[in-house]
Amino acid sequence: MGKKVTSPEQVQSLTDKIVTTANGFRIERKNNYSIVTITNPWQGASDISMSHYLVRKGSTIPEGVDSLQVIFVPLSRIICMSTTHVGMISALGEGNSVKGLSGTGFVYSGEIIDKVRQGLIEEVGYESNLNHELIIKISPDLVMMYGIGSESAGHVNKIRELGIKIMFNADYLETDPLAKAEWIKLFGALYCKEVMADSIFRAEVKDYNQIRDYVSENSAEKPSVLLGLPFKDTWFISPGNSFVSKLIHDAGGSYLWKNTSSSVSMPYGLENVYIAALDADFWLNIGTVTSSLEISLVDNRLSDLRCFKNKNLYNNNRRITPEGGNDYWESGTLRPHIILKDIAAILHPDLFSEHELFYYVRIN
Amino acid sequence: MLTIENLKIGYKTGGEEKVVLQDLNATALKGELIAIIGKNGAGKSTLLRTITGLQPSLLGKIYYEGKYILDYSRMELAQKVGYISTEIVRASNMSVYDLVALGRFPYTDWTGRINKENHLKIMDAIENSGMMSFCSRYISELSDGERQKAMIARILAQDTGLMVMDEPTAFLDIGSKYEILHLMHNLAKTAGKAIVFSTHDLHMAISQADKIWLLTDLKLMEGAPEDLMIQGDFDHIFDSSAVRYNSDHGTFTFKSDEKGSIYIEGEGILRYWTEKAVNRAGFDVSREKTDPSVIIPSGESKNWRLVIHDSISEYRSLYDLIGRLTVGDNGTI
Amino acid sequence: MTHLLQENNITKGTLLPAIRQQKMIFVFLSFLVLLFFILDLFLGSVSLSAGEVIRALFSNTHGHLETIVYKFRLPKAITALIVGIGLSLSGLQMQTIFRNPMAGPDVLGITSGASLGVAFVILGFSVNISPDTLKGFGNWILVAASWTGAGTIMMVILFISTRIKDIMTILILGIMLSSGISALVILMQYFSSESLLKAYVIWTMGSLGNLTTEQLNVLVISVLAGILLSLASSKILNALLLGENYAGSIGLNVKFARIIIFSCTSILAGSVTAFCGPIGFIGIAVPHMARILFRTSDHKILIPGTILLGGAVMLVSDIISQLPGSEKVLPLNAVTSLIGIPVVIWVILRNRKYSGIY
Repeated sequence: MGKKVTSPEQVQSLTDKIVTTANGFRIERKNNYSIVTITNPWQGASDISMSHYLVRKGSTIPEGVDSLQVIFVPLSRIICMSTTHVGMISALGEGNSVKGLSGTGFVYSGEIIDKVRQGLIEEVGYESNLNHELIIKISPDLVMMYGIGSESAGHVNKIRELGIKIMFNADYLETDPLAKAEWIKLFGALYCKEVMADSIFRAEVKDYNQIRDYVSENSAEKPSVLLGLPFKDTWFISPGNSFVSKLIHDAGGSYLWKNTSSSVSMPYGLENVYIAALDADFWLNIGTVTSSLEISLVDNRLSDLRCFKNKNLYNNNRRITPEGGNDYWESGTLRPHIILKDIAAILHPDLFSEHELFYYVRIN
Repeated sequence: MLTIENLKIGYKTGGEEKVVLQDLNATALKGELIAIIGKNGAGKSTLLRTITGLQPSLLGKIYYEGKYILDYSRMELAQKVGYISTEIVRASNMSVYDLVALGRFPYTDWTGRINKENHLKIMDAIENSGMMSFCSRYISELSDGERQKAMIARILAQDTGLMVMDEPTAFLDIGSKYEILHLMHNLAKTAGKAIVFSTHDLHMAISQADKIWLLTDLKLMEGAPEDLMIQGDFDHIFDSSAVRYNSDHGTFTFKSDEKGSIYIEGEGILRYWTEKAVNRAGFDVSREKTDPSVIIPSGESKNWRLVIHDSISEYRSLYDLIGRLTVGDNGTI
Repeated sequence: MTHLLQENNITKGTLLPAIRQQKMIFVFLSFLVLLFFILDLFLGSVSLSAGEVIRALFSNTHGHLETIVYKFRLPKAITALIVGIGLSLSGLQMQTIFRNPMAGPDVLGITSGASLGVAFVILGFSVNISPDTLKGFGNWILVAASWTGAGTIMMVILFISTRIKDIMTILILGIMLSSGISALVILMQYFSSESLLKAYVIWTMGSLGNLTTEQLNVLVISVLAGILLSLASSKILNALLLGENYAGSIGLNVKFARIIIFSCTSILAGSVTAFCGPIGFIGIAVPHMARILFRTSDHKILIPGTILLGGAVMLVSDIISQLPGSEKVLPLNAVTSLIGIPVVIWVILRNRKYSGIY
């Protein structure tokens, strides 16, 4: 069960500006309820905001509020579309409330896999393929969605019509690692564990900043970093304003395309990337490869890269399941300071000599 | 040149045989122009396709120059018989020369190269079909008649002993029809080709062909047109309640129109045309003097005279005469 | 043939100019292909000056420039040339044997079969078969799968073509087969994860720059085999212009002809698709361009003409897709359609007299 549910008075004592870093959501606290506003929950959205009124179970709905927008908290039954969300819920000790999940085949956490196997968590499908009947049978207090595009809103209309509450979660769109982690506060509000969520986040911020500052104070050089893998002869490059770029920056590295800015990954010609990356110091996040042989099979020209020859290759797939689940996305979202430490240890090994890589593994 | 023996033609679909014609026996000699006549669906096209080897027969044998058709290789057979179907060839940018050059297909090497000898044959074929001025024109630009001549030039270039043509003059205007016919006639008589063609034009067939293959129900009757007429074979194919075929004249009358007999007095070319007009109007020409009778203009008189019972009326033209003859609705004058 | 015509005075005035003109067009096209090939070496994703490229071509060192030119641009240009030729030749043959101006290399379902093979690997089995086994072969797995798919369809088509008489029936069956396979692929896409889906979709966009030297050798050999077969088939193809009935009547063994032509098409289209993904439109458009340019139906002229035009058009498409001057690149299929379609429309409208195509 975890820590006690926060009482309304305790909630009031928290700072007014609740959400500090994240862009995608806002929480406003009133007497017996909170207003959660989600903005632009999918790529390409603008001026879209969705408001939800989180009302304590047993309280009355505030005047003038549409009951369709009301979610009674704390939740006892939730369906999630992403394992990241499940991770955050578990961190709050509310893992038992997860009754349905999309993509049960790609889960990393052993606990969740067990629950799936026992039938405590059911597979509900995804996107346009949601199993409506199952969702209704589960009868959740909330279905937490994440949207890919504007049509996502359409997919849930059916179940919304039947009175099921839907909320869109846009944590994956955040471009700052801490901003992503801050979404735990959303779950804090949903489970009336705001204080706990807040303290988890604060701890995370502290650890993260500590590592970041430590690196920037103790190293002058910023090794260059290459990311990703080409598809055929096009390389989809993460822009400089992406969250992985920020991680590299905070870890004291220089991402090769840190000066670019885009809302989507950019299709660059292979020759271009090849030339730019020839002298890169490190190569991270290399698709799903587990050996350097695989890299050369994708395209044998990649073996010319210096980082390849020096085997400075690291991939974030240390913690994976045979079916393809990756803990980097599951628990990593909530604990970016560990990812940061991993990357910093890779880029500046002398500074973190005792650290054992957690999410990353060196590729041979 | 060509002999067919006990031939049974038709289709095999999934093990079942559909017989179109059987017990066919006929020959075609070099220099003969042979017309195939029969009702639609009687099997003319099937027979032509079977003869050219494009379709297998169900039973019986076909011989070219004494040799069984299946003993010939495809190329060899193509040197013996050429074929023109009712299919219109549509190929873009194909010149008449190119089309005719394809007739040399059985003679060129695997690259299809046209050497001097082939080229001369092609040009000969084009000239003999009267298409010289169209040599480099595209076949898509030709009129129907010109295109047909080009097709004939093609099988001419194919230099075969037998030319098989499915309705070669269908859809052509009168002028082109006779041009083609004239060409076919020359090819048979001068170049010694055997030509077998199917047609719906009975008149043309009877007047031009050396031999007729008449397809009726399930049989083939072979003979000179006049032979078949004498035997009265023609009468049967057109046995219909609406039409009667007059073997004596080789003409048709619509039965509903038969109005009786008329005696015509007078001879010469005017008599010939008067008879025709009178027949067309639905009257039989009787051999004995009957009433009514028509007197052909002679001497100074330019008018036709019609004698009905005792009254005589005069007409300036056959048109007027016929107009008077057909004035009654129920055939009475 | 010129000397033959000179003997025959009557035709001298009519056919000679056409032949002279065709010779000039050949020379011009050859020059154009060479030009575009060189341009394709000069223009790419990375901005290099012409001087740099030339120096790199002839130098002995192994610096960055040489790497770009020899490891990226040269193989890609050769691939573009070969792919353009292969697709156009197969399109020409399909249009002739089916006497249909809309026919292309994909009309028999060959490219769909290739897509199915690749879809199996990327979408279907990637997750279920042990990743280690799969990854051991990397790129070659995709090629093998593509060839297997294309080859299977080719067998089916050859089987059908010896059993069924009417060529139109075969055309319709081929198209239905193609659609059916595409539906299967859609089904697989539907059930797959986003990243795999993206990988598959990228494959369908076509790419020329991903071949290893080995693979390029295999592709060149396959297409060369196809070219030789095509050149040897020009007599057969000319006869088929009359339709299979007439072709049979002038001595063509129609069954044999179908086998040769379908096999040739399968080798050409199957190889190209296996290595470069399904590249559209070129196979349909280039033969039309050749017909209109050379004003003849004779395959002895059309085949070499199509070869040159196909190479030229694909080289141009590659140049454009590289977006010279910008680091970004465009998917090849989009470019081949976008530049090809207006060109064909313009050419056909200007030559309406000749476009009563079949």
